[in-house]
Amino acid sequence: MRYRLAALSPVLLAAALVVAALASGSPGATLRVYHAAGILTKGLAAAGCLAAAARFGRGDYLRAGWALFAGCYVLLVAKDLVAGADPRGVLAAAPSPDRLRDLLVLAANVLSVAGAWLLARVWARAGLALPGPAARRTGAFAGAAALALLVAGPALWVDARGVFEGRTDTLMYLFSDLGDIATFTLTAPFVLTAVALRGGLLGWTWILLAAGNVAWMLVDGTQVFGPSLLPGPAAARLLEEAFRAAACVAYFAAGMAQRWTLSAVTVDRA
Amino acid sequence: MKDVLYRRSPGRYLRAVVETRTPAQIIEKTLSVFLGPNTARNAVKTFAERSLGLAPEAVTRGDCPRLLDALRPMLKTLLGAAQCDALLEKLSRELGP
Repeated sequence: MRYRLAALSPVLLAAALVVAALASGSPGATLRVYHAAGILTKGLAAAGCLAAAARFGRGDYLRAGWALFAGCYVLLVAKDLVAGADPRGVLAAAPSPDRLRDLLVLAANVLSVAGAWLLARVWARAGLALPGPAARRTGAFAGAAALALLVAGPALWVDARGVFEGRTDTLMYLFSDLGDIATFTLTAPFVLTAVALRGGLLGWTWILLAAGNVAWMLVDGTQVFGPSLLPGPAAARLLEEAFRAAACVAYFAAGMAQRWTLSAVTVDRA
Repeated sequence: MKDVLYRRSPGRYLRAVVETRTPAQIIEKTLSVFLGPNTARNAVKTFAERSLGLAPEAVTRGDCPRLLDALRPMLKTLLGAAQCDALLEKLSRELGP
């Protein structure tokens, strides 16, 4: 039952964010809702990943992966605290440049890619092959890479041009785009792992991790395609923030599912 | 597991539970709680073949300690060392001496 509730929690919190944002009344209040929700949901993600890491012992393979994810979300909370409610300059004349904020984003992306890499390699480490025929595995990786390039590629292009034109302020965003592409591509092994572990308690963790990555992809996708597909920038931003909240809460739920499963082994022993 | 009725004396039957599963099936069933039925089946098959050179259905109780040892690195990776030890200890108890 608690696994099902955990799986529902990203949708419930994203819906709560939408309701709170729509009820906020003014653009300034809406930005404050987004800011508070960002800190809350990223804080939850950090707590969930930390709870999973803490349940493993020193030297356990997955402990490092979860600790890296926890570190990533702690840095993202710090970034939100540093950046304030309006880092994009929606209400101000222009976005405020902030080197500390950019460094925090860069470091968070590095930790996220490292954590995703460790978790994606869990099958090889366990001495098993990723499930399914080779063609399906290759197709899953190719599909994830194509989706990653579709949603993060346009931003990568813009930011890379900025760097080549000598604008060092876009360097951090370039690293962030590269991090997104790497993490999104690693969604493929998460999905394959979730499929292989379906019906088992560990399956919940991987389903939720894959869901979290898909929600992060939707955040990037909304940033790229939202303004042209949705009625106005406010609607695009609302959807983007809802997907971001869902992604963070999915990571929280994945961490909790991992912790509960490990506890189930020990409780069963007693 | 299978419920069986056997005749103890004329006109008198006794119900007993007899273990009819193979050791590999017992291991598979316990692992499937955590790994799901597909991965549990594949893991038992892979490591029975790799460590014992046997098909899962040919594994005897005497082979089980080696099979459980072969499963250890996989379980340690997925569940952590403490949880792996707990699960293997439970399986050892279930499989008997």
